[in-house]
Amino acid sequence: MSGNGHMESIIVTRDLRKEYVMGTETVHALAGVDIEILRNEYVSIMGPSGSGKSTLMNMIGCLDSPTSGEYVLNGQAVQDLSDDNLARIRNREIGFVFQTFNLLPRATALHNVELPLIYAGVSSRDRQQKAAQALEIVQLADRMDHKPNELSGGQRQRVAIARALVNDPSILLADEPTGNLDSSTSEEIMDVFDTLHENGQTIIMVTHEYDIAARSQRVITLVDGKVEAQMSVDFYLARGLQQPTAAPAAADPPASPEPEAEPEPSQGAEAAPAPSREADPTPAPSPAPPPETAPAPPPTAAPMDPVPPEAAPPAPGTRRPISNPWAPQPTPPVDGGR
Amino acid sequence: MRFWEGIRLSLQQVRAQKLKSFFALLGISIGITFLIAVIAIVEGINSYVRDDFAGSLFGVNTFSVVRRPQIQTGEIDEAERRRWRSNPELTMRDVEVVQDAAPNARYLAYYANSFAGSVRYGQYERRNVRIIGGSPEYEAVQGWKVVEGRGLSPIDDSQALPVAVIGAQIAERLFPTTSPIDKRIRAGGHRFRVVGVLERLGGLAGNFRDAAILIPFETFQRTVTRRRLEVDGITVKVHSAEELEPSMAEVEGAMRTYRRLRPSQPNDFGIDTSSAVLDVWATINRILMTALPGLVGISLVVGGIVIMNIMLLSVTDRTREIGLRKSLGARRRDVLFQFLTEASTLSIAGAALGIGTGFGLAFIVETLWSLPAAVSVPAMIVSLVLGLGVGIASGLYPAYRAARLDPIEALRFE
Repeated sequence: MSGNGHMESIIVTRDLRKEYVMGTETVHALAGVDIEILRNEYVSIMGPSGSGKSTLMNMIGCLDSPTSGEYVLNGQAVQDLSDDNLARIRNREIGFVFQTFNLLPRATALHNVELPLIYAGVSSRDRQQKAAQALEIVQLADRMDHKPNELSGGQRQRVAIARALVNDPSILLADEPTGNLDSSTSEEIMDVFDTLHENGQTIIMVTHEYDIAARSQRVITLVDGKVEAQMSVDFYLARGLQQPTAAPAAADPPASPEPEAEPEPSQGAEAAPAPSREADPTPAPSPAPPPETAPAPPPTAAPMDPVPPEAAPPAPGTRRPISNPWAPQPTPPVDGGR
Repeated sequence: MRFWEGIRLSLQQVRAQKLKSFFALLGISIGITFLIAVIAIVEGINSYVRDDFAGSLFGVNTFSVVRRPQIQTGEIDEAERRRWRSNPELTMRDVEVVQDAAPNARYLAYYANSFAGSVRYGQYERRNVRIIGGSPEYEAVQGWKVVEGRGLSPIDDSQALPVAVIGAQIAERLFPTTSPIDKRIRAGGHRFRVVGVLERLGGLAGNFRDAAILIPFETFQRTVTRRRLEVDGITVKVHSAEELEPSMAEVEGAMRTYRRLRPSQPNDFGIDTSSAVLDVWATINRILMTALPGLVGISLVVGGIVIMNIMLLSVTDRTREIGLRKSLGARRRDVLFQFLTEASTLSIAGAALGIGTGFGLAFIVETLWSLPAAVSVPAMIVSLVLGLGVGIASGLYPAYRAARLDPIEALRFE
């Protein structure tokens, strides 16, 4: 699809659907989702409750299988895999970070981090070594032998991040990772994610907080089980400014001054770096959700639009330099070999 | 690798919830305690009966020709008992017949005995004493040892000297401070000079030997009894267990010939062996061993149900943990294995505890009632295998439930 050499897509879904039968009613949790996420991208998935973002996350995390549609993770079609194979994929390809940390209370930080390696069949000595390394990455090397109840909330979440990283996964999948943390601790955790991203980690984050989503490069919003819009984060934030009702939480949208932009994904407008200020400032959701109308994979084409990398750097200067979504990563991905 | 990981994990779990685990394995423990204690005691009695009891009553590798069988196995009807009552008395003529029929016997002795009521020395008295008149080889046939003084000699017998060898209990009772040797005791209205003291036997069998007075057969004939020339039994000791059966057959044939019995007629005498005692015990043993599996089985089933319940509770308690493990890559079989290992660890720990308390109980019984207890390695192995079996059986359903949990719902579980 994309002609860009280093823009390798790590997640591609086509017409992903999930239906639950509840009594006599069929609930369409996902009603045809087409997304594409590139290696080293940092993407937020947002949407009101009931929009299907949890379902999509479970699907991306291989915890659930779609009713229909296609899901290619790191070059491998996973929609029809057996339970055991899904478990293997979860083990090797995905690092989960949960809102509630989900640490084993009676195990030390080190052992908690070792868990995925146990299921990967790594020998005890290698496990300890790798787990210790992962804890060093999140700067908890001095807390290895502490149990969760001896750690602060932020430290617990960092242990959970180390656990997610330890098996060197293709994607880090975080579900409201700061939902149980106060604002300064949230900041600390988001800094960890930023650092990981700068080092080449692909991150997908489900959140409903604007200032959390603001840390990512791109925002995918879901409504009623469909992708409502995909846009660069700067664009998204600008849109939020225009539409305060949509974003009451965004008390302090980063001071990015660039105004509205045309949010028409089908035209690839949002793919352009934020400063596209010539566009029509209509803040309304994209008129027609692309997955529905487009026959093949056009919506995914949008983020792929190879914008000249030179255009990327610090767009409007004022924002902190979260790497530009569309800028090519200077360093090759850590796990690019897969 | 994974295997040891599972064991380590379940031990950790058991340790983390000590009280719950303890109650979980209590049922198994009780069952295994019972199993081990009963087997230890039965095995102990077994070896005791085999090595000591039968041996000390009848001597090892011996058989006795008697007027009426003393030990009966199986069903004996009244008619047979009546017939035994009409058996003729054994006499010195029978002794000669047996002597001729068993020329290769290691020892051969004949004896008669009677209750003497009490035995006295000075103001000391011991009641319930049996006086045995034994031929010179009687001590050797019975395997009795003299620890003080001397045993009876052929001269004592041929001269019908009023001498006696006394049992340990009598010696203790009548001579608490002095040596019994050369003292004159009174028993059954007669005076005897003590020449020796028998080694103490103790235990159940000891009641017979330790409270006996052994005097020469001839002396017995002339003083204690009026039944001249009658004997109560003729005991033959052969050199080895292999010689026992042929020698018995030989003696039986000679006795039948001497008594002029036709082939259709039953023996009008009895032949007792220590193996007859063993047969009686074997019957009791068999009954115990038939009942035991049922009793143990019931408590193991109860124990298994307890473990299953605890495991089901544990699966519910740890639903989130299971969801987490699955999200981190645990396959169904990993979760299944984890919970099966946990259940098995619990039940094997229960079995181990049961083995410990079982032997403890057996040894308490041993010290309180002087019933011997023996450590049975096969019983221990069987217990551990049973423990493992119960663990797997009772862990299977909870483990299956855990393995089947949907990771999403499990993670969401509160």
